[in-house]
Amino acid sequence: MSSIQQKSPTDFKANDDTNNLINQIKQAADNKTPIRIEGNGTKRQLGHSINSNHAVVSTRAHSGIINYDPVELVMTARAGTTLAEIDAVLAENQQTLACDPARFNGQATIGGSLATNQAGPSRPWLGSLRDHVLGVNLINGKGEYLRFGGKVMKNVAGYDVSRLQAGAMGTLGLMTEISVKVLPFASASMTVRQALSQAEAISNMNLLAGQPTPLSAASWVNGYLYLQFSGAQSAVENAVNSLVSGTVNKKFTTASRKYNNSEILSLEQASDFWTQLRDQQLDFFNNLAADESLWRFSINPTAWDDFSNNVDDKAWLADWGGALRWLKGDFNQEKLSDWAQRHGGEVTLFAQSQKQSQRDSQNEHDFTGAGQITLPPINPVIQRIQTNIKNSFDPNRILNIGRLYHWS
Amino acid sequence: MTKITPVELSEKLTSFINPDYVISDAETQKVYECDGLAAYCEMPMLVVLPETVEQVQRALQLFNQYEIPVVARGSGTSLSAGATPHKEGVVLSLAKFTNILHIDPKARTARLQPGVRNLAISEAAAEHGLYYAPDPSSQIACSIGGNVAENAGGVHCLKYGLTVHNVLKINMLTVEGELISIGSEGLDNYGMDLLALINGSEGMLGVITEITVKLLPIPQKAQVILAGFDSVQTAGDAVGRVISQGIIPGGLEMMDSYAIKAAEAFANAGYPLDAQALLLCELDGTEDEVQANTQQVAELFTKLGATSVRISQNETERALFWKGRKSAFPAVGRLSPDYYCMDGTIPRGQLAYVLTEINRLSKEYDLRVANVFHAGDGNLHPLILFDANTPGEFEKTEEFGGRILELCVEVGGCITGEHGVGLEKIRQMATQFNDKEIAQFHLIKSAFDPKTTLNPGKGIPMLKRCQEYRSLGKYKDKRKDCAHQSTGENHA
Repeated sequence: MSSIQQKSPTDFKANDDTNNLINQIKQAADNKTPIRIEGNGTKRQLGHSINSNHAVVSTRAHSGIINYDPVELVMTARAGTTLAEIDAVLAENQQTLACDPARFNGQATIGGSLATNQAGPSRPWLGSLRDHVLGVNLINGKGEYLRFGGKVMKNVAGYDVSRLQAGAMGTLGLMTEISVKVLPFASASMTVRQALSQAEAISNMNLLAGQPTPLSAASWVNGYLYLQFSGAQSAVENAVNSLVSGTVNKKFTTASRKYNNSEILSLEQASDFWTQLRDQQLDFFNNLAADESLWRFSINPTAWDDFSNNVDDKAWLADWGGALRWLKGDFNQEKLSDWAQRHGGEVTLFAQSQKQSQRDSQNEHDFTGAGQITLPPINPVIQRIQTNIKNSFDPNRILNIGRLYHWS
Repeated sequence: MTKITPVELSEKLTSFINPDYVISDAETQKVYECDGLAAYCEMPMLVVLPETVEQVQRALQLFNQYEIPVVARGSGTSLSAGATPHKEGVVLSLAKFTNILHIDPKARTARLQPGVRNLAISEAAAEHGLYYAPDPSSQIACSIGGNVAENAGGVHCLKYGLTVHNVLKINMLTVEGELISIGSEGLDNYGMDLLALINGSEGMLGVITEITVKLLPIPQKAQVILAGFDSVQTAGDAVGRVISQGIIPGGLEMMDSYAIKAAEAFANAGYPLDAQALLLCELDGTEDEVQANTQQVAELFTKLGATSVRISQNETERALFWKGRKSAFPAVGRLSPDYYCMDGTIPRGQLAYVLTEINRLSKEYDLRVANVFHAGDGNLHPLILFDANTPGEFEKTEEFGGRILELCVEVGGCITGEHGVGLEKIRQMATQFNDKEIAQFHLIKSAFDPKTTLNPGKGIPMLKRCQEYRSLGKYKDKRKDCAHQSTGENHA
């Protein structure tokens, strides 16, 4: 059992701000004054920006792990608990969150991470927080304190309100407590880097993902395909051996080694790369030119055609085995939307250049500042359903108004 | 709203649906009167089996116009009376939608009509070295549409997840007959997760017409360890120890002595008849991984006092080990005229306590129980043996079952892990959720189905019924860990 369980109940109560949060929301509901829900603010760039006149209700004072049972593989934490704090406690038991959401310099909270449905490079294999949430307690827009899901792995009683929160960005309620599934550390992990074009990488990633290997992440950036294998040591070694030609012993070590066009990264190199990719700290994300916008595509992982071929490889980053593509530059957004739709998905504008901003202000998209637009536009029937759901949780329309869509 | 007679409705439907598939005579309707939980029977007004999405769409528009209740039905294998007809409503069978529309081996997806059988997906994907992971015990018959409606699990969901983890996209008709797409070929979508809301919604939010699922590479190897234990407690502890070693088995199942004996008599799988509990632990992955893990788990079981440990030596033996488990329900069924399968989930650590309590209740009600358990993820399937021909025995069985579900909630678990609420567990919803939570569920339903004609009376109880149930005196707020339940109105 974890030492966390030996703390007395008063230790847990110290950071319990539930009553205060309920009161703030009740008051806002009574007065019909809109509020903004915030943790540490690491994901302000996601969604539309909210009117800055709306008062902030902060989850920062509502933090701490409430319950952690390593044998049950379940952990419950208050919304304002940072993932870094959770990592530290889980690591004492050689466990980790079952997926790998961005930590954002240790500041990301579990509440914000679920509200924005975060996932790391291992998304195709380990899922996102949405996949591992077991239950939430939340305060809806009426100030009602409600509990959905639970602390067990399987639960199909009632609608899945816990997972509905993933991606809702706090528009349906303020989550106070979140229970998630955790997993043991993989016993071994190795990363291979291969010099390849993006076209070759997309093809290889999909081919490899269709074979029974312990592949756990596959990404391409700046002329290199990065493949991570995790699991039993012998399985990881064999997978790496079959990839890397040569006769040298590829036994699991912490040092880096090179073979032809491939390189086995040292543990430190590998960890740095995957962390920076996950937390969007690679140069690709940060060195945007003045006229460059950054677009995010969630699409069929095999997507490749003339359009992708004709844009310089340097403008692209491919993650999630090809299912997540980042593109930077100056593009006609309708064209990007067509491309995303052709490949079964959607595109969002993630960071907006000055030029793009001026163009957008002239069209009908209603957003301000660094706001985000999703293309294709939402289907009107789904818009109606989402509006109804929003109103069912928040009839006074006070929670994170406009964060998801200008109409929500 | 004008009323419509069954004859008039039938006439309207046959103007665009093959008249052979609009069923109004009692004899032909009889097979639709119940699902896998045959204790709940009702004859519908009509049964209709459309053959195209357009026909489903027109039918729904018609039903909506006259506010006729609609019960969508796949293969009818639900164990919670989720597909029981409504006497003033229509059974909308999707049994004609059995086509696998497309398998994309490169992207590892399958696009399916809702009536495709679960097992048929893996059979079709096998030529590409792929399979569909969720494998409910009814997989030979149950349909993927029903799997989505119930968020079906199976013996491999500890490692590979439930239906909700394996569905990428659905096409759905709203109650008004509007066709929408939820999800995509990508892994995430902007905004609130409607796809998760549809999974497990028991046909109460829409009618699913197409599903895109993920396919996984077939593991190189799978091996099963069969271990007997002299107590349920020891076997339960062993489950926790396997997982804390960092090993996530593909499947991890437990059976108690009653279930072992029944399954062995049925399947001749070589189960240890003297054991009080049996664990079946399947390890899958690459050859090396499986070899290493199998050895580790087998040694662990021996160290923890297993009275027998066997490792499957080939595929035939692996299938045989599983045969006993997969046929446990019918095997137990042979010992009794009828059996009633429960579906609670509990924290694994509470297993010994819960099984002891179930044994106590078994004596109290004078009804035998066999326990089959998805031990890895805490999903308990007690099978209560009874005789429906004995007056009052089913009612007694149902009450016993209800007590087991309340017990699950009491220890921090829930009333259904994978079978759904349906009609069967609708009263126990009041033990897991308070009135405000149930009111929120009703509001979510209204967001999709304002006239509440989609599978009415299932899944979410009327608030009035919750109050009645609680006033019976058996109910008290037993919810564990509800830290705020007793501190005033805010937390009620």
